[in-house]
Amino acid sequence: MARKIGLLFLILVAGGAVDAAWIVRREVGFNLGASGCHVGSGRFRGPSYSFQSEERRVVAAGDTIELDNSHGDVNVTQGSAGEMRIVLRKVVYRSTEEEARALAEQLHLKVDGSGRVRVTTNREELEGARPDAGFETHLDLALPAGLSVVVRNEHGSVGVADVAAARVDNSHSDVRVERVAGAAEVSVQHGDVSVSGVRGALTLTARHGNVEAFDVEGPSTVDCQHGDVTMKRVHAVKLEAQHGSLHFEDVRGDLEVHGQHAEVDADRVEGAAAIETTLQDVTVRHVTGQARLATQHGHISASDVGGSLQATGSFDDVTLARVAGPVEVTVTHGGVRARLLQKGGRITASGGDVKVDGFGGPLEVQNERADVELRPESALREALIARTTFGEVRVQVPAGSQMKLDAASPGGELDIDVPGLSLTRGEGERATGVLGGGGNEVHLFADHGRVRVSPALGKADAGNDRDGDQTGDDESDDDGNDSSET
Amino acid sequence: MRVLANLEALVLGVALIVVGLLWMMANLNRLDLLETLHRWWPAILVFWGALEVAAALARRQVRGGTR
Repeated sequence: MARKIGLLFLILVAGGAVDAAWIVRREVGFNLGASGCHVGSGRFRGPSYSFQSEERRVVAAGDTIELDNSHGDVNVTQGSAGEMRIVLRKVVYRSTEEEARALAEQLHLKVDGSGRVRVTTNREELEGARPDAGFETHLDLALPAGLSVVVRNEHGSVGVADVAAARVDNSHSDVRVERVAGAAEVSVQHGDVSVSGVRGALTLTARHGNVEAFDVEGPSTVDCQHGDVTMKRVHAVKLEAQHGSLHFEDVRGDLEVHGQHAEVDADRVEGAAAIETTLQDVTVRHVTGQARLATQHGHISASDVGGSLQATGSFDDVTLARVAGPVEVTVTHGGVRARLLQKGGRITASGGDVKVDGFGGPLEVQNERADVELRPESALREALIARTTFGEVRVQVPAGSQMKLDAASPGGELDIDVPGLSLTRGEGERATGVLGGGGNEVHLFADHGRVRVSPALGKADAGNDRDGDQTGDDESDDDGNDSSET
Repeated sequence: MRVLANLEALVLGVALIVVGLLWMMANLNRLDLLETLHRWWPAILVFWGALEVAAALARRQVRGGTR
């Protein structure tokens, strides 16, 4: 019974609070306009009437148009030469057309200055004088070519096209910027952004909205939180992002990404790629320069990298394919699968298998609690070190290889059978031997595991999947390994 | 008693659906949530009272049946 009385009390208090809020809204002024017209989610609602006025002003190339507005859309397009045409569309929220017209007649454009022309309306004065009024002011500007614009708006979308330079600050609606001859600077809160055809630098700040940027010829600096980012055919990009999915295509310069909780996917980067994020995956394809990739609790995948590659991950695997430069991979609680590492490198992993199918150059692999499986791309002539604990080290030796082998497996076993390898067995599951005259050092070590050295069968798979980008498990490889055991 | 427990769960489920729908419609600008709540919240008391009466009648029937 006490529980029910408590619940009843709670309902009565909540009901009283709702009544109080409703009365406050009605009496104190949250309600703007008559007949239920009020602001909801930043927009007016209720019966409305639309009116229009127009103004023209002579402007010269090189002038800057500064535009301030709120509660209405702003659209800037290219117009006829020599003059600026401004159309103000007034949407007034009143219960009758007469009331709306009377209010609309008090609302007008304000255009001041020369060289730097400021365009706005008297809506602030009107709002002060008529707190019960609700109205939107939509501005359409047609400008001659060669003018720069600065737009500050709230609660309305902004569109800017065919200008010399653009700077847009907006909130609570979308922004679209197209064909800018110079630099573009965009800042948006609570809205999507679309930018295309910028010939200068792009500076973009976005919160709570998605970002699209295409065909940007200058460097881009982007700061995005709580939204996805898509950039295509852009110059160098420097991006900071949180909580979103980041997608890049055709980056004609360096790509630098600092993300948190952001998935990153980049394809065709003509430069270096430096990407770090957390709790999400990183995927890069076709990077001409070096790649530096890092994530936590996420998968790293890189293919067709023209320079060196550095990858640091945790709690997931690292997948590599066709890396021209040396690699340095560190992964904790995850494994590594790699194909065609042309200049070898260093791989450190734990808790997951390391499999390198095709490599050249010196290679050092260190693993824990998992296997190491290595197959050189061609005859082995460089140093090779592979160590693991509680797992196997398997190495396939191609024909024509040279090596000075030192293999040990304390607490485990050795299985070495390569034609031409003269082997000397030592104490405690240790063996040394020379193949092809020796030279390069090959150290294989498996603590509480097994070292197996066998002749290579076939060449490494180039990893050309159907989409030509990813590496992955390949049953034929596993079959190949199995056949080599027999 | 088991029937009453099931009834409570049913009422709670329906209440959650109704609150969720109202909130969603408000977010979609289809509904003025404050005005709707202001107009209809006493219906909660009426509905609860009806449930209590129904529960009391059900208990009486159960006792009558066991005699």
